[in-house]
Amino acid sequence: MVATTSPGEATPTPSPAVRIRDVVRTFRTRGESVHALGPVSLTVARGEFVALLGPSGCGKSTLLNIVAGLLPVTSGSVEVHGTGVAGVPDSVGMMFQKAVLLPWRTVRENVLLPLELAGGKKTARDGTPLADELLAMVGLSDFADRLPTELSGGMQQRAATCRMLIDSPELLLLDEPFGALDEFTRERMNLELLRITRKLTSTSLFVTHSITEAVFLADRVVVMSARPGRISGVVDIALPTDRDPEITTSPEFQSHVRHARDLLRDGDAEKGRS
Amino acid sequence: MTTHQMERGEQTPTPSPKNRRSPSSYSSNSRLESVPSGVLVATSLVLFCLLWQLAVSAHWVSEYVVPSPSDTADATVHLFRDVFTDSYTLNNLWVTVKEILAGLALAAGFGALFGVLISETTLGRKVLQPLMVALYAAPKVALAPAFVAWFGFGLTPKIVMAATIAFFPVMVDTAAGLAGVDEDQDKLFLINRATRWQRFVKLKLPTALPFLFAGLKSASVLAVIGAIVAEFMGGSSGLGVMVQTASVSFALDRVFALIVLLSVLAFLVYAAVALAERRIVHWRASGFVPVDS
Repeated sequence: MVATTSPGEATPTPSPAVRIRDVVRTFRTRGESVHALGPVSLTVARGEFVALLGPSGCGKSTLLNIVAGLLPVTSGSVEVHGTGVAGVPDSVGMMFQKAVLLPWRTVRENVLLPLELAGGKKTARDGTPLADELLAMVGLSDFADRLPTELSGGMQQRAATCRMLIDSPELLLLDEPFGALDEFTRERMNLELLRITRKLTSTSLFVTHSITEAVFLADRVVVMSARPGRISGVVDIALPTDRDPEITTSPEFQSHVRHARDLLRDGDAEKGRS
Repeated sequence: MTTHQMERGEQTPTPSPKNRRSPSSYSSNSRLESVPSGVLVATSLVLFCLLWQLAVSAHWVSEYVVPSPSDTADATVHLFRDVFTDSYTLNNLWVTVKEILAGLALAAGFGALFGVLISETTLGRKVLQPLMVALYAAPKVALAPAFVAWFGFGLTPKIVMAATIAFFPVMVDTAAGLAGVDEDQDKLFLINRATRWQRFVKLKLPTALPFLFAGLKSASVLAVIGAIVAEFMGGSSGLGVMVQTASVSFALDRVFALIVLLSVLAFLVYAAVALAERRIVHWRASGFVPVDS
């Protein structure tokens, strides 16, 4: 794939964080070709928080994995920060549904893993103060030397958040990061995530199947429908950037939720017709 | 059974109201459930020995065929005293211990190496794996005469036999462990652009370690069997030779005593491996039962 910051495009604005153009992905299972995704086009501006919302099987995780460079496209192209994606792009952090901490490493060692993989043990040692700072930010200072199994699910996800942030990635890919947590922990984690991402300049791509979660967190909700995964609409969230749980009862919030739900239903109905 | 499930099983509160049976009740015999397992084991052993003594005393079986438990106990005490006092016994024990440890070390080294080759290299997977499966199926004990022919009557054929038998579980478990890496953990390494070597050292090896130790535990017991079988086939010293000597003179009580000694030996090797496991695989609570998954 070719790196394209085309010379004709002489605009002073930097390239968007993510540019997805006509991406199609088909899987081969038992000789049969399954059309899983696309064509999908989407541009995410730098610093934007975009939620990918849709039912399971709509290809939202597939799309995220494509942006992460973990899955190749069948056709179309993906650029991250102006560079065509071939393999994992620079400066990307990822969170998964599970915390995915290595059980043989302490919490701090887990947080330092990206630094260690990028620059060896020395770099990791130098990053220790930053790791401790991040752990303090999410209230895990007392658990830095514990093993992951000693932590609750929510605490594990917090540690995973620190790990994602340790090398200050510009693009955060979040694959239903709180999907496995209970409702209360999940709400708390969402608040924390909102607080953290608002402080950073990084871009976030957040996959979820919860409508309220998507509306609560995102600047823009991209609604997807299944088989094949397509974008059925986009909801621009006109809410203040500082949000607290009370906002979910506001009429604006409710109207966004309704809008997203309508788009989800329409996507479903279309599928029913075809 | 995973450790999780076991923990949960232990935490299950004992149903206190008598007639209430929880639908998920996992044991029908709740009275035995409250007796410590050690007591049950001891009781069964005592009952077994009583029955055994009775069978001999009442002449249900001839004493030449089955020595009485008291004779066996005497012979065992005698043998264990000989270990410390009699140089002949001590030398034979030492020979067998050397065979076992050397065989186990070889099995551990080659088993881990071949496990890595099978799991990590294309050639290993395509060529080595089918070959190893074929060899795994072969009765390796039958190789003992060949080993004697190739390596003579010294320590070597015994060590090779012990290693050959003990090798397979180490190899199979290592390969399985390396292949059992969590998909998401692998993704985490990929997203952080880890090299293949980093993935191997920092992810696959730690994942495989508990499996490797499970294989080593099986191997520690098999190495004892291998050493003894090889001694049977052509040895001049070792506990296996002592077993043979005792059995041709119909001293079955002594044979039993030697089997007790060999079992203790096997258990000690096993316990040493288990202890090493607990220190090295410190992040997992492990008992004597190998944990899967």
